[in-house]
Amino acid sequence: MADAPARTPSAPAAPAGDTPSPEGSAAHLVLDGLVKTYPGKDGAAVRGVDLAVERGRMLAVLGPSGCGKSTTLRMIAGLVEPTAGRVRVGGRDITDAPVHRRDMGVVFQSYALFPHLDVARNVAFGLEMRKTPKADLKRKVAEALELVRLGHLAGRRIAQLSGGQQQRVALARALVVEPAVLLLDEPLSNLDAQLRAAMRDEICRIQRETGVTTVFVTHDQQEALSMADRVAVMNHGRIEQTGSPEDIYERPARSFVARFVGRANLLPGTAEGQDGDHTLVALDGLGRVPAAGEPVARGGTATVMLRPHRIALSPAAGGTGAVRGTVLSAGYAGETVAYRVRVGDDGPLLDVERPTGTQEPFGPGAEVELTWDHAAPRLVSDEDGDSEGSR
Amino acid sequence: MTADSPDPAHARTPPDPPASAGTPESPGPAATPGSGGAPHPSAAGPAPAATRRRSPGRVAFALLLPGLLALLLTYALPLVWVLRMSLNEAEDGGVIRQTLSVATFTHVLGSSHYWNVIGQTLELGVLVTLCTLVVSYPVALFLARTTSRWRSLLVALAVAPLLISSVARTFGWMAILGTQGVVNKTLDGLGLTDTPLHLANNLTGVVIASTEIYMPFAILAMISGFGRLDPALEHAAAALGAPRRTVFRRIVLPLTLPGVLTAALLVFVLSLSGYVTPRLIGGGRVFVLATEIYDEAITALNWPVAAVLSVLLLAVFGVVISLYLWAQKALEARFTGPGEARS
Amino acid sequence: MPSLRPALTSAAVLSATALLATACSSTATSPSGSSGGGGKQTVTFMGFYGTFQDTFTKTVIEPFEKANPDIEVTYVPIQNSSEVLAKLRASKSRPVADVALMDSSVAPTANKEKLFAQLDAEKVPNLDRLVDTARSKTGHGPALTFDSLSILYNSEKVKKAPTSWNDLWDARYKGKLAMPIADTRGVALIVALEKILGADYKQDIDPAIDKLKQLSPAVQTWQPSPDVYTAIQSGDADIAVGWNARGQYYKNTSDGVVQPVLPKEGTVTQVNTINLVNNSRHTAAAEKFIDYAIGAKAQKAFDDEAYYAPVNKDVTLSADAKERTTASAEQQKNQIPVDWNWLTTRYTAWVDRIKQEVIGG
Repeated sequence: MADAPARTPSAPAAPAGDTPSPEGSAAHLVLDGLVKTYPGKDGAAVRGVDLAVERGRMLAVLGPSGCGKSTTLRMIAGLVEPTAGRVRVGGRDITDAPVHRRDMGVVFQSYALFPHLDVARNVAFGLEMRKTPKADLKRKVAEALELVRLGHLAGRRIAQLSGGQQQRVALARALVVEPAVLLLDEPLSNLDAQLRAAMRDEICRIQRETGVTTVFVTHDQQEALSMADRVAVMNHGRIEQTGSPEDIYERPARSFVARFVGRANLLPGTAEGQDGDHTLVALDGLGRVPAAGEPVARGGTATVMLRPHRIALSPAAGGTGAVRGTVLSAGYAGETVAYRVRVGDDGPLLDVERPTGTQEPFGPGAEVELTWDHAAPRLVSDEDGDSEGSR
Repeated sequence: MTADSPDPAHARTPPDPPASAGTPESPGPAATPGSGGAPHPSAAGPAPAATRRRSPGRVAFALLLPGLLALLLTYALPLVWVLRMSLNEAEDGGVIRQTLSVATFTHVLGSSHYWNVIGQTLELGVLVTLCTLVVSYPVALFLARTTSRWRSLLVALAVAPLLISSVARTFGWMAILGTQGVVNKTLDGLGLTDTPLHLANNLTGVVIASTEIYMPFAILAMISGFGRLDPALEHAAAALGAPRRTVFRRIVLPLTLPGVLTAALLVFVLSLSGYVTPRLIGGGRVFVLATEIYDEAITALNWPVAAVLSVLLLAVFGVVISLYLWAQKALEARFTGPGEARS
Repeated sequence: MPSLRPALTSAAVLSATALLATACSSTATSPSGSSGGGGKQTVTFMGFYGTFQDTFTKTVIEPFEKANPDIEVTYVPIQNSSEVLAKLRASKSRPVADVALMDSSVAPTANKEKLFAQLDAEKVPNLDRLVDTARSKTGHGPALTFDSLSILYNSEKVKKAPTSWNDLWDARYKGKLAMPIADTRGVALIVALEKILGADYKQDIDPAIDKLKQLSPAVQTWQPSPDVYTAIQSGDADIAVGWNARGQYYKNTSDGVVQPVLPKEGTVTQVNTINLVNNSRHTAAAEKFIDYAIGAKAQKAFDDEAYYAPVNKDVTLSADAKERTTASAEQQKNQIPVDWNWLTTRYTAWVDRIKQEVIGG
């Protein structure tokens, strides 16, 4: 189906994947064409972000530092005024509402706990602002602290808490007011690796229990994939792709997403035609490889993504037709071994990752045969949102 | 964590023969120089930890020595001399009778004039401190929060008046506030006043001039005391539903209080001991301890009374500084919790 | 266990107070120079700073050094008599000066404390030529200068010149008065007022104090800055009391804007004495210098320029200087006698009354 709708130059601005339309009835938080430019700075920090989050779901905005994800979050919170675009929550346009009338629960990267107040009074702050009656306030604070399992530390000062405890207080403080949306800015970046894993589960549990619509920003793909219902990958101020964690990982639409989320071999080639759902792509050194994904018209350039762990290695046998290669290096990493394999004599270099314990590891110089299952190669678009303007 | 607790890192260093160190509670080996050899009886506990500081202590003492000597010469000795003088008695014509009595103290403390002087000194101090804090706080807050690349320049500008002597600045204020001054000339020219306002040669003038003169000190003290300010805290409070004024009242103000307190101490102490401004712009009506000490010593030749007044001024300092330390401790406890308040 | 913070705080407080103390303590002056090479004797002279120093150096010290090539005079400028007293007290056995000026209200104290030596009339022959009021009853240092309390006014703002002490109470000057009287000027003014009010200052100064109290609301400043003469010159104050000699100096430099007036009721003389410091190591040279300073030649030269009345009988001032000092015939007639020696013991009490009842009241 060579006449499948090819991507038009203007298309990349729209989020790829299965984003429901911003006007979708289920969407609770809707960002509509958010733009932020700073005077005196070239280019925009955020160049038109459209996003929709369904009620009670958790969206991760994933991207490298400087991609505009934090600015986007701050525009939702009202801390940064958008240059253009609208923010809607539950159908209400809050773009022009001041921060303190937005009903957002925000957890800052530094937690931003009030050092002069104890844990309970930190948590109570938002309720006091809402003029919650005393009895209610006490009960709600206690409940919120129970929710984050800090009931026993209510009287502590912030300086007396560990990083993880501070994180929980920040969560409790943001959640106790039952906000319309919970915003988390790099919530785990200040914790050490072990605590991070624990807090990840904790945040998921709390989000499930409260059912609050949540947006969190992270540069850590593991965090995004494991916690969120949906992931929006951002780069250069734009959303590259939105989808379920599986979509993002298994079916990246663009080479940037493939590279940023997990490791990927990206192989350039030429489309030679269709084979059912697959596009046949001629790849240097690998021959004609069928790849799933947005079809590319015959003769067009196509990039094929091959995840390292989807490639199997076996000792080279005499058979023909198989892809053969030479192991250049093998890095033992406990659960896996990371190989670099040269395909053929001067073919492309491939990263291959194999679990340990299933086969005897190959040493450098070993001649191997590379195989992958039919679904492994994916077509990804090379178009980069950033370069759009030059076309 | 106290300064003297044993440090495991040092405990691992090869132990020197236990020498003069003393207990970990002692200020260090420098306190007992010369006593070498046998360990101090009470050093039985963490002896290695105690010995570790032997040579650093000596180096520290050697480094401190010039300063300590200078302090002894310029501070301790004159102070002792002043204390001694306060116990003398003055005879007619400025003759000093060498004696050891509290008669001069009794005379001063029994005189309503000197109580009046002490009262006016404190009144001036409180007024100047309040005015200085009020006008310096917004400036300091702006300078502490601004992210402008001109920040350093602005801070430098704020403290630049320090480059000009306070005498010159006081004369400047006299030119502004006097009956022939800019303010009165302007008001008169605009037909707003018939008789000139009394802005100089009285307490008002002293308060106005002192406020401006102590502003740079207050601003510097505040900026350095505003370390806990963090825009994220203000954002967090706003996100929790606090309007700007509430953010200021509930977050910014409490967080900046330690800086304000330090500035208040600095300005109050400077103002208590201030001589130049009350003398020059006070019109002879503002009697404060500093000018009174000068007058007693120079005009009346009554050195014992001058010494007693100096001792009283020192006592006032002592009270003020104790109050400051107490207030600071109370403030700190809000941040660190009552259990862990620094002793 | 003491923690670091209070220790640091108290250290900071200590050093801060130390700085304060250092800043307040006056700088020590160098000890009086001993005779240099070449057999030259050095006389260290403590005199008042400013124009006094300039004129005295030009009219007295330089001619003296010319006449006595073997003696060199070092002028140590001082602010006031109490500073001299403090410095001599601190250096009794090895004094920092050989000859010192001192106000006659302070000198008796220094004499009593044996800071100054008595003078030998044989070594200082000019003592014989002094007017009576210039002599010391105890044989200590005699008067070097006669100054007097004047009324000062700004001639641009005050059209009708004041002529009497009573003019200070004139309602026209309300709010325009500068009255620096919490010192010797106040003491002198009390003496003058007592005379006018027909009272005796040795008995009861209440009349003068009461009179001054009435003046209080009219006073703009009790302590003009930097001094009363510039306050009059700049027009900050219209009328004031001040010392005549400086007033005359300002009259010259201000082209007549500052006008000193010796009131018709007469005025009170202020006396600066010249004293030989006890334990001086250059007594002979110092005596020679004192003798020269009170001699007719030096007195005329100095007084003609600086507008002091002469202490030496043999001096006839220039007409100008005579009219502008108490040496004038009219002023000589109306002199208000004052016993500074007696006043020494009342000085502090009087100043206290001025401060507490007149200024503070």
